[in-house]
This record gives sequence, C-alpha cells and structure tokens, in this order.
Amino acid sequence: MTYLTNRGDTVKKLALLFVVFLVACAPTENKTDTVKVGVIAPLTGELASLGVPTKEAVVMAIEEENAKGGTQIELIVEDGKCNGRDATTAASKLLNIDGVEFLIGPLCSPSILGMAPMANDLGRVAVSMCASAPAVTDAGDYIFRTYPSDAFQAKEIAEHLHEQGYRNIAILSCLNEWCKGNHDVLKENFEALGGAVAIEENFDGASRDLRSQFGKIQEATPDALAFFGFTESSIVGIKQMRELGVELYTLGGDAWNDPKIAQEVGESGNGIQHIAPVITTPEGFAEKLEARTGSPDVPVCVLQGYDTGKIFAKLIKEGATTADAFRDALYAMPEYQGISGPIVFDENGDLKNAVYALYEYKDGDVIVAEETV
Amino acid sequence: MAVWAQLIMNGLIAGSIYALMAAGFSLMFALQRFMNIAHGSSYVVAAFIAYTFAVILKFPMWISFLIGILAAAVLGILINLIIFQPLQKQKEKNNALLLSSFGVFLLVEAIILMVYGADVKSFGLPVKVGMDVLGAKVTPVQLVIICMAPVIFGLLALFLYKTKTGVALRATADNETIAKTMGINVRFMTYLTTGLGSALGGVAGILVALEQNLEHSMGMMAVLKGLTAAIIGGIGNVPAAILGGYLLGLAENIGVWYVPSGYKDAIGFGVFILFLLFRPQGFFGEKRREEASG
Repeated sequence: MTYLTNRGDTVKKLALLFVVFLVACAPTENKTDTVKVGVIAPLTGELASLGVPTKEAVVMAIEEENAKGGTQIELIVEDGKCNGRDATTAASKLLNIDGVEFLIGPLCSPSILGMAPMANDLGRVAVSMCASAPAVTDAGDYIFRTYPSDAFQAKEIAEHLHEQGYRNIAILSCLNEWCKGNHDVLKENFEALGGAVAIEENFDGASRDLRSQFGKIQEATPDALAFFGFTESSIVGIKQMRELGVELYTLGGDAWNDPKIAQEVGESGNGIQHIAPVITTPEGFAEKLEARTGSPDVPVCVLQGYDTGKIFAKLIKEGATTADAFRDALYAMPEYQGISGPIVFDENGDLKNAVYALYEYKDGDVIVAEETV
Repeated sequence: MAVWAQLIMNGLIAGSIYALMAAGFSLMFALQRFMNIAHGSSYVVAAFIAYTFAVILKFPMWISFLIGILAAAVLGILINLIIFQPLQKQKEKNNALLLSSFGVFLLVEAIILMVYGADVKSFGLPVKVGMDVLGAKVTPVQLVIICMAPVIFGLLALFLYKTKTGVALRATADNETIAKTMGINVRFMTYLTTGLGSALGGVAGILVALEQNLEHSMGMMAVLKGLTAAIIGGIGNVPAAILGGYLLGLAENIGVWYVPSGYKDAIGFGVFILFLLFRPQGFFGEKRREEASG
C-alpha cells in the first residue's frame, strides 16, 4: 500500500515536472524574428590558423547586420577541423539537433565534401568560404562556395610555371581532396602546355617527415617544384626541404597564404611563392579583426568569410528563411560586391570568376610579388 | 649513390625513434605482461614539458629536456601505481589492462589538448642546410638522434647485464615467483621498469619534437610504430625490439624508393602484418617462445 501511495506521489511529481518543463520550453513571442545559422570552421588542428580568424570575420559581419535591426541571426559555431569526419559530426549536430536550415562553412574542401551528402539528403544549404577543391563543383544542389575553385588556381599555377620557363616539374601534394584537385588540374594543364612532370610524390597530411619525398624529387632532377600542403605539414616540409639542400623554385597554392607558415619557416622560406586569390583588405578591416583575434594578420579566406556572413544576413532579411528559399535566392542573386571581390554563383554553386595574385615569403612575412597573374 | 645514403640515413633517424619507443614497450612488457599503450603518454608529456620549460619559461635546453624525461618517468610510474597495479591485483585479464592503458593514453592526450591547445608548437631551432655525412645531408638534431640512441641503448645494456639491479630486473622478468623467493623486491622492479621504459619514450618524444615540432596528437603514430617495431623484433626482448625499430625505419624509408611516398606508413604496417602471419614471435623471438612454451 505504501508502495502504491509513493508511486502515486511520484507520478504526480513527474506530471508537475513535465508541466514545468513544457512551460519553460514553450516558444516565447519575440518582437523580432531570430534565424539560427550554423558555422563550421577548423578551430583546432590543421588550418586553425585560418579557421579562427575566418570564423571571427563571419561573427563580425553578422553582428554588424544584427545591429542594423530587423531579422536577427543567431550563430551556432562548431569546430569541424579540416577533415570530413569531424565536419560531418559538427554538421549532424547543427542540422539534426540545433535544427539550423543553413550553414556558413565548412571552411575546408575535405570537410564540405564529407558532409555534403548529409546536407543534400536533408535539403539544407552549406556555403563554404574557403573550399577550393574542384570536386566541390559536383557536391550537390545545396552546396555553394564564395571561394574560387582550384580549377582556376591550378591552371594559373601551370601557366605561371610555364611562363617562367620551367618545362620539367615535380609535384608534391598531400593526400586530401584539396591537394589532389590541385595536383590533377596542374598536371593536366601543364602537360597541355607542353611541359612534363618529372615526378609526382605525395604525403599523408598528418605526416611530419617528408625527407624521403624530397630525396626522390632531388633524384628526378626537375627544374621546379609545385608543393601542395596545409599549414602544419608545409611548415615541416619547407624546413626539411631546406635542410636537405633543395633549392628548386617552389610554388604552392592558396593554403600557403597563411602568415603562420611564413613566420615559422622564417628566412628559410625566402623565395618560395604561391598563387592565391587577390586579397585587398579594406581600410580599417584589419584593425577591427585584430580587436577580436589579437593578431593584425588577415589570412586567406577571412574576407570571403566576412562576405559570406553579409550575404546570409542580406538574403535572410529579404525573407529567405527556409533552406529551399535560401538556395533559390543564392542561385538568383545578382552580382554581390563583397570585400573579397564580386560574388555571383553559377549553376553548380561555384563562383563565376576569380582573380589571382602571386605571393612570396620574405623574412617571415607574406608579400605580394605580382598584383595579378 | 647519394640518394641511397640519404635513404639509409633517413631510415636510421626514424629507426632510432622507433627503437627507443620499442625498447620502452618491450621493457615494460617483460614485467607487466601486457601491451601498455599508455607508453605513448610519456612520449607526448615529455615533449610538452620540455617545450614548457625551454620555450615558455626560457630554461636552458638541456635542463628542460632532463625535466621532460623525468616527467615522463614519473608519469609512467604513477600510471602503473594508480591504474595498472590495482587492476592486476583484481586479476583483470590482459585485454582489460590493454584497453585501460589505451584509455589512459587518450585521457592524457585530451589533457594536453586542453592545456596547450591544438596548434603545432615549435622549439624554434634555426633552419640550416644539413651537413654532409657519408653523402647524405644531416642536420645537427638528426645527428644527435642517430648518435644518442645507440649511446642510450649501450647504457641500458650495461645496466641490464652488468649491474646487480639489472640482473635482478631480468630475473624478475624471467620468473616473478622465483625472483620473490630470492628476495628481490618485485614491486620496486616494476616501478623501475615502468620508469625506465617511460623515460626512453620521453627521450623519443623530445627528439621528435626538436625535429618535427610537437602537437597533442603526436603520440598515436609513435605508439603504433613502437609497437610494430617491438613485435617485429620480438616483444619482451629489449635488444630484439631495438633491432626491430631500426629494421622498421629502414624498411619504410628504403621502401619508398620503390613505391609512392604516401604509402610509407603502409610499408611499415605491411611488414608488421607479414611478421604476424609468418613469424609472430618476431625476428629474434624464437628461442624465447620455445622457452615459454616449454
């Protein structure tokens, strides 16, 4: 009997708790609408040196737009690192648990390619601010990017090497979608120009020992080296290259537009060049970003991150608050004049145009060697 | 010819690190009788403690390295004292100990991540063209790695074979029950082994950090390579494990001459699988296996 009485009390208590829970969770009427937007970027690990300032640029853009009033945007930020597995976990949390309709990011090519099937299946939009692998072009109807495809970049690299008189190059690249995309497009274009690829070598992105690769490259006696790697492996790679006495002209891609690489390799990086989209930082932008990151550096992807935030705010305020409406609005968007350049999407969600510059490491800094290539 | 000299030198550099890890694994296995994956924690902790003292607190390098190695040894002993000994007292099976050691390794890695963050750290040594050694380019740090490992192994051999404590340690490894009846303090021997083994892992961690920078996740590959080397050589047999380390380093670095370099790790693990299939007792492990079975 006591047992039954106690059970009755427990049921009452649980019912009361349930009512309290329902009241607490009931939607409250807001004077202004709030739309949740997910952000995925590498906040730790490989490329965190680009991910953190890019995330801050997104937050800055959204805060500026929220301050103007109207529909408010609530950002939910997740660390997707720079690989498909972590990005998919982050996207699953944002799309399935937080219920966001659209994502800014993931930032990296391997990340967005990893989570793209999920976004397409769920019918949610993802706009990367830094993914450049050519494979992203075919990643699905809901996948966009405000960063140019490497189909442009690697072609520019091939043409630049050829114009400089190099005819027999080595290609060293990491084993991920970004590297593989650049590797393949460069090879195809360089050979189409009449050049030859003396040796193709690759390495795992987590590897910190590239000595064997450089040994094989030296033995193949190429006249230049195209080297595609992310920040941490590139730092070690450049150091080991110099320690082994490899003095080949070396050209990389946009992932090398990271001041951390220049700082870490110091003078040993002098003369090493890379091709990346033109970065013309507007006046006052670096200072605003520095107030958030503590660093005066504006690495590659930051301006695209800021523009992506602004585009999201603009379209959401114009009423594109569901994933399908947002996707349609992106396809239909007239040319948007962003701080990273004009942004207009083609039928694959890629940028229609891209302008590249030639950069160089010099005594620990990244400097512009040629304004446009 | 120069390329072969370079490949062999690269193999010796990698092999020295693998051998240090493998020696630690083997030493601990001889007494603990299970694969202590937590050995990887010593590798990571030593590197980060040395980095803290050398780069953040600006201590002289050699003092920082000694502190790092000491920290690794203390960590190894503490893990054994707090986790493995109670588990062994409860007669837990070796599988449970192996899993718990893996858990400890992941926990330590997570703590390092929390404290130091995920970005790669560097000791900031200047980058210079390596010197010519027998036709290969070798940096001073690499030369230290190549030369220091045999010195350490020599000292270890002297300790194990020429000192009373070393003999007692080997006797304990051979037969714990008889060692106890002979008056050997078996518990002390276990602490000594874990401390010594962890210190070897710590040396490897610091040397790699000097050469390839350091990050919280650096331990996993070291554990895999160290274990592979120990098994290739013959687990529980320290000299065999050391030779296994050099064999693995040379196989990987010479092997990439014939296959794309991206398969370097695959070469190592391919050799590992071949050994498991055709010589599970390891390269030098036959005699020991017969003794054990007999």
